Amino acid sequence: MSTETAVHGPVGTDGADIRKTAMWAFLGSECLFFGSFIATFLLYSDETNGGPGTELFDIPFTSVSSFVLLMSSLTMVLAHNAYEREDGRQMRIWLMATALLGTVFLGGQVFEFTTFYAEGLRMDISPFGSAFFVLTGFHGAHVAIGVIMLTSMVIMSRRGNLHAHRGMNVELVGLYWHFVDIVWIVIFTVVYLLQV
Amino acid sequence: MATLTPEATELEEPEEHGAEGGGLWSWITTVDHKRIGLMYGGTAMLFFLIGGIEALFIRLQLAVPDATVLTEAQYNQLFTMHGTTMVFLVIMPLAAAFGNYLLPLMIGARDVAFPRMNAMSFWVFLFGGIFLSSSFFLGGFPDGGWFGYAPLSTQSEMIRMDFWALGLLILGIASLAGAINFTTTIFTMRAPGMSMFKMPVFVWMQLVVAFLLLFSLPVITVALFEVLFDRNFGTLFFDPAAGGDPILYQHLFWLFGHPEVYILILPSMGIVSEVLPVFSRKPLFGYQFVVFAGAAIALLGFGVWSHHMFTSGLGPVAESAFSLTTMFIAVPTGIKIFNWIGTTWGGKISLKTPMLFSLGFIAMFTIGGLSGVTHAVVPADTQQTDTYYVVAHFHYVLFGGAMFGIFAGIYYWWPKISGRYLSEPLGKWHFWLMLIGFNLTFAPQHWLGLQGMARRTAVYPPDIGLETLNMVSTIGAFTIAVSMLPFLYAMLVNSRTGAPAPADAWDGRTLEWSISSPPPHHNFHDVPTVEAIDDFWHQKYGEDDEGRAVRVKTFPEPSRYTDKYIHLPSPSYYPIMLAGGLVLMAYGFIFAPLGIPLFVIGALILFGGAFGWAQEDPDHPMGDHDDHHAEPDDGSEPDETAEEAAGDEVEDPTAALADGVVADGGDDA
Amino acid sequence: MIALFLGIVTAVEIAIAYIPDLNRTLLTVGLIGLGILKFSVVVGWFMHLRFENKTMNRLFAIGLVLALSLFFVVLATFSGILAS
Ligand code: HEM
Ligand SMILES: [Cu+2]
Repeated sequence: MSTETAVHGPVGTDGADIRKTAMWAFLGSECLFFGSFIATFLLYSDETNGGPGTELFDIPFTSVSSFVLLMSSLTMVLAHNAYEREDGRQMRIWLMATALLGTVFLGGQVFEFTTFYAEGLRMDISPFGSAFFVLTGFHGAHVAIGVIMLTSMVIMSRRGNLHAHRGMNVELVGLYWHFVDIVWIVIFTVVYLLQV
Repeated sequence: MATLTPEATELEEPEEHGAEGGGLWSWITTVDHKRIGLMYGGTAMLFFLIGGIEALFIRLQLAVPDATVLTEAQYNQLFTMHGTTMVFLVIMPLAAAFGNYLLPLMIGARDVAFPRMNAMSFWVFLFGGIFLSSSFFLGGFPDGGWFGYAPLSTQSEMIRMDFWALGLLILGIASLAGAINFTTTIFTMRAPGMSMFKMPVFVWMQLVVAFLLLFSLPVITVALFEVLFDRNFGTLFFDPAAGGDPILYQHLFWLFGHPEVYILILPSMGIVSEVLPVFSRKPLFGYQFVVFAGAAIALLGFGVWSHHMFTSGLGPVAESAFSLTTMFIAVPTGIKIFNWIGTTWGGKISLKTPMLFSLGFIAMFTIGGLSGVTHAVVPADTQQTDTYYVVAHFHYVLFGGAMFGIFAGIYYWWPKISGRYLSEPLGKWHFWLMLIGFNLTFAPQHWLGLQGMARRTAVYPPDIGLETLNMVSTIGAFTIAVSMLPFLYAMLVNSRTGAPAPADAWDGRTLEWSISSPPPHHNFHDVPTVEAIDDFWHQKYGEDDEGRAVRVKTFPEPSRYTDKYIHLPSPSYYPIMLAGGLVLMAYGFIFAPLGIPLFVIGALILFGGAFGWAQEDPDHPMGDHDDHHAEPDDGSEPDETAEEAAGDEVEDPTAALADGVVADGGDDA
Repeated sequence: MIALFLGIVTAVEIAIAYIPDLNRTLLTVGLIGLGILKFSVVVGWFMHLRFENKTMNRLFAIGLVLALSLFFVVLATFSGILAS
């Protein structure tokens, strides 16, 4: 009774896809995860221990990578639309695009980190450095996991192993991906824009 | 395998657990919530023995002044591991064991929402527990206290605190997965007609616990990561010399830590709320109040954490605020106590072992709650903190409360699980010995604490009036140890030879008593429809003119077997693979740089497990992923209700055809 | 459409951050406001939360509200607001 439609997964007695309920629970939990790191950062934003501080931030550069991540949410929406239309080819194209944009973002982060290190902002130089690198680093790790999941989706879809009714599907990965994006919206505002 | 194939249902009475068969492999790959619950419970009981032995060593050391049973270093390790074990490896997993076994049975479902994730929770818990305990052989137990305050935990050179931080991170994954699973199960898989306010209280309490876990675990995760990074990557989160602030650690820990104490107690409150009505033959007094009080406790539980930090210099405004919220939390707690007493009031009480433990729970928990309120008063707490008075408080709530509740649950549901009653005389020996031993151990600690005996100190001098009560306390501890013997004997022997228990072993009220003991592999032959709270009771009993319960219907003893085709999730070895990979990574991390290869191997196993999991065809799990398009032939269309209740995350043959479209759409087709 | 909107908001944010001598509070309020706007748009439309059932909405809302309120209190105890 639960899965008459092709694309939607198993439905619980409340009429919703049970995996989506689970994903939202997970994302609610993640709010507190990032909340704790952001609070740590706010507490330490001035604790530079004589080392460099927020003056190193390169807002134009970070704005561009923020924009890249924001646009990856758009391509993710397009991938999901293709998925709903059951257009596997289109879906894969947009998934790839999303993963690519995510990778570009990660590349930007690597570049930023190396620049900061060269300029003397390290995670073992001050609580500010620790908080900055660990917060943005964990966000980056989330992006990286997202990229892996997106790529796996593409591979699984090519092999005909992507199934709406079980495990991960495009919609769930999409939710995760958008969440990672909104966390970045917060980080960009709180950690970068408000600090300079 | 796990699927009840039509042949396997020819009522040929296979041994344990329906058609799943025995054998080690079937347990390793099982996704059946009942088996997972049993494994959770068994493992936690083993850790209970380990934690208990640690406690006995502590009490031996404290029996007389200036004792030398343990060195101070050993003493630090033992109290740290005792606390960590009891909290994270005993009470939490025991609560998970009950949740696993009972939630689906109580809400009329055939499994939890995500059976494979459920199995993963268990394996991660088991391996995480082994990982944490293995520190004993690899340099010594952690020794920074169960709350691992920084910078003590960040500055010690030894790897033992790495074991602690990583171990708790791993266990956190198990709990988080469990919490997501339970939340989803309770929200989405209830039997038709069972609205939220028709759920048994135990289910409610598990839901509240799942919420608490969801929203408090991430906070300690961050605290643990920060400790780990301070220790291994030179970050300065908690290094005061560089501007780091150890108080931040305390906030993060207790933001988790206080919700955690409710995570520990609420499942037992749920258990007791099930047991009391059955043995009083009265409905739970004030169901809504008990439920709302549980939810209120959870909500308030997030607003009191700083009462563990009254002596850290929060400032008068914060201290007053947290003092007030802490006192407020006693209100919903008190409401529950009144409701339980109200339940027994005027009831036809039958003092069977589960009832004894439940009454013991109420009494002991009340004492612990009262001493808790005395901690809420800041000036008083300044005197009490870090003394044995606090130790007495939390043992009254955790042992007298949580553990007594758990024992009540074990005695209550064991006939359902094993199909046999546990011996009443042995149970009574267990109860009385434990009650006496418990009070001998912990009541004196109130006085010891008020006399100024500091906790976490390995020796105390003679002649300051602490000898007698400490000796009493040690005698009590060994009495508790003795009280476990009748219990263990009953569990080992009665489970095989005890009096056979019928399906409805205690004339119960909730759905699990409507199915055979032990339950069928698929739980319910037909998914029940629910009309009221305690629906099963109302099917059996009506009311006469004076409102007394009269039996109106007696059900025939239900069979364990059915000849229906019921589709169940298939076994999978990916969960254990994932868990194994994770723990290998942890060992690799600890022993870096030498361990890096191990870390990489672990990561590969983890990744392989995850990838295999994602692609696994739940109907042909062990390999062979190619033929999923072939099914199902509509002749074997499963019983409709079966599939929707059976944890359909993983299986649903009817969708296999349809969704192939997406998978193969476009150019592949 | 929505993407365009998000792009513009981001551009405005950056512009605001660069207005010389802009009143600090105004800047903070403005940036936080715009951040919240973007956040809600992504969650509400991209993630379809506006169209999902109560359970999902609540699960996420609890996380969000708890994160905001708990850490507000924690930071307040450090900043000395509650100290006197
Ligand atoms: C009426 C309800 C309760 C109140 C008002 C209360 C209050 C307190 C306070 C103020 C403290 C801090 C004492 C100090 O360290 O100076 C404390 C400690 C503690 N409480 Fe409670 N409590 C209550 C119920 C519980 C329950 C139900 C549990 C667990 C099931 C619990 C477990 C603990 C533990 C483990 C500690 C000690 C933590 C440590 O320092 O290691 N409490 N309680
Ligand atoms: Cu507390």
